[in-house]
Amino acid sequence: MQPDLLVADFRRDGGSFRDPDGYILRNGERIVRVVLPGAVERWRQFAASGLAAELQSLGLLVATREIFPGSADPAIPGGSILLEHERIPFTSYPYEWSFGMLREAALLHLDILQCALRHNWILKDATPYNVQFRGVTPLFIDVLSFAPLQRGDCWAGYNQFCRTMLYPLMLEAHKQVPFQPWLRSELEGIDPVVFSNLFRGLERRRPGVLSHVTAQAWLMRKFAAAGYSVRQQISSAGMTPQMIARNVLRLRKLVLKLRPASYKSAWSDYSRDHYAAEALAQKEAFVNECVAGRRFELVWDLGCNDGRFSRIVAGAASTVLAVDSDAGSIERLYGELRKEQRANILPLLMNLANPSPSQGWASGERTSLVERGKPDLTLALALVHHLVITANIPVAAVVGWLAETTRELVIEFISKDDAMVRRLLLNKDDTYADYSRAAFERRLEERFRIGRRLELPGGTRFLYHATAAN
Amino acid sequence: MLFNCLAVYVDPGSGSMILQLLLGGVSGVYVIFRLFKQKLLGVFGIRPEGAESEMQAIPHEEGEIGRQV
Repeated sequence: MQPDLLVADFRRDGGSFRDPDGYILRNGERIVRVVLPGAVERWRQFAASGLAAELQSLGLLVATREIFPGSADPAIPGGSILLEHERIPFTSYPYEWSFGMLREAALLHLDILQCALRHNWILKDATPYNVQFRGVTPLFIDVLSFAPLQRGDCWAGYNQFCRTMLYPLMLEAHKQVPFQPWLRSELEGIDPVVFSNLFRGLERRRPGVLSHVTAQAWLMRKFAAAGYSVRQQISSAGMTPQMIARNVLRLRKLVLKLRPASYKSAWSDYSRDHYAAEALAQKEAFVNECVAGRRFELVWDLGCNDGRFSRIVAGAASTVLAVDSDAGSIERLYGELRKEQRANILPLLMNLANPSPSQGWASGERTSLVERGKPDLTLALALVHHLVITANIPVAAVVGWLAETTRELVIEFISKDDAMVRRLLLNKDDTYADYSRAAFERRLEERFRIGRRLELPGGTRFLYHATAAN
Repeated sequence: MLFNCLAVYVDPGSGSMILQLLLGGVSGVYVIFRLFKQKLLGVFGIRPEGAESEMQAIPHEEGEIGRQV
């Protein structure tokens, strides 16, 4: 049995308030779910069901157990019960996932729903926020989403599934438009009526468009003003679980058919093309020496590219966040890590000049990157020149942000003599007076203590291992 | 009473539910046929047996009494 939970340390998760059946509390490092009185019986029924056993044995569901604390948060209503979930090392959001990651989340949903229907259960919602990645493995985390199937019930989550998973995938597969910016600003996903406007004429013949987009938008307009409960009418007319299962099967086939836009990645071959083997070997050795014999809880690899250095530090870290703004790199890295069965590297797509903000209801529903967990160590290799020269962020601001974020840093500075930096400056005036090795080192020393340094062969790239000055 | 065990807090969307019938195959089309047969009978003032308890009319926004279908 678990020891008592610390009452003073309860924090309600800012994104957990919509479901009337319960909510998530964070108790230090532990994740606790409150099941409210009205849902307790249903939870017990689910926990004892063959469905729960099957999902657990397949490893699709987050590990969960009931706990019995001697004391708990007085705000928890009487009659509630508490569950403890396995902690997911780092929370991520669909707008930070690659196409392949969102597709895995969608397939996980459909597989779980198919399994639930076989056991006479159903999922009452369908949002990718109910999925989290442990490394590259998707897990379903919302155990209160399961409900016994009622006679005549529809799949209430179908519309939500389309908005938040199917349409974003179709947007990229059919229109070659990345879904992440749209999902980042529309947390409820893509509206069917708006989405249907993107498909005209023959475009409607692309897989899934006519039925799931055009027809849905038309029917939504048609029934928008219905003054009666369509749900009750359909139920009494005889909706059956077999009909839901057929739709789910069709959706699964459709999702499997969707392929990402062909990425012409500018940076994917970066390490191979632009690095002499000797320089690369020395860079690897430098990073290796920085982490050798040490243990880190969380490492960020910012500008991870092909994940070469993420893999090096993964041996010394519980969790590595591999972040890049290039969709092709993250998609490829995700695929490789799946094959390698890497458990502790989470690839995320993000432009670091504009990292994920805190947003949603009360600006706390989805939290910023930094709020979700600061790293013990950050790798910023071949990153600074992008932030300074491409995104026009002053060197001092870049170093300042890193100083507020991380205790330890392995950072690379690439001088203006380097071919890569020259390419960034080809069509720009060089207004970057602060971008010199000496100025960079001065800024770095204002906030960090520089330990080891290394000039790489070629004389244009410099590595620093730095720790926070305070 | 249906739906009493499950708090559906996500609006399934009326049009999306109708579409689920269309995507549900032959039996779904049959259910649609039944659905619209009920509506058609309603137009002629004929109400199928048991329909009243299952289909509660709700007032329109303007305060009118909704169609009893």
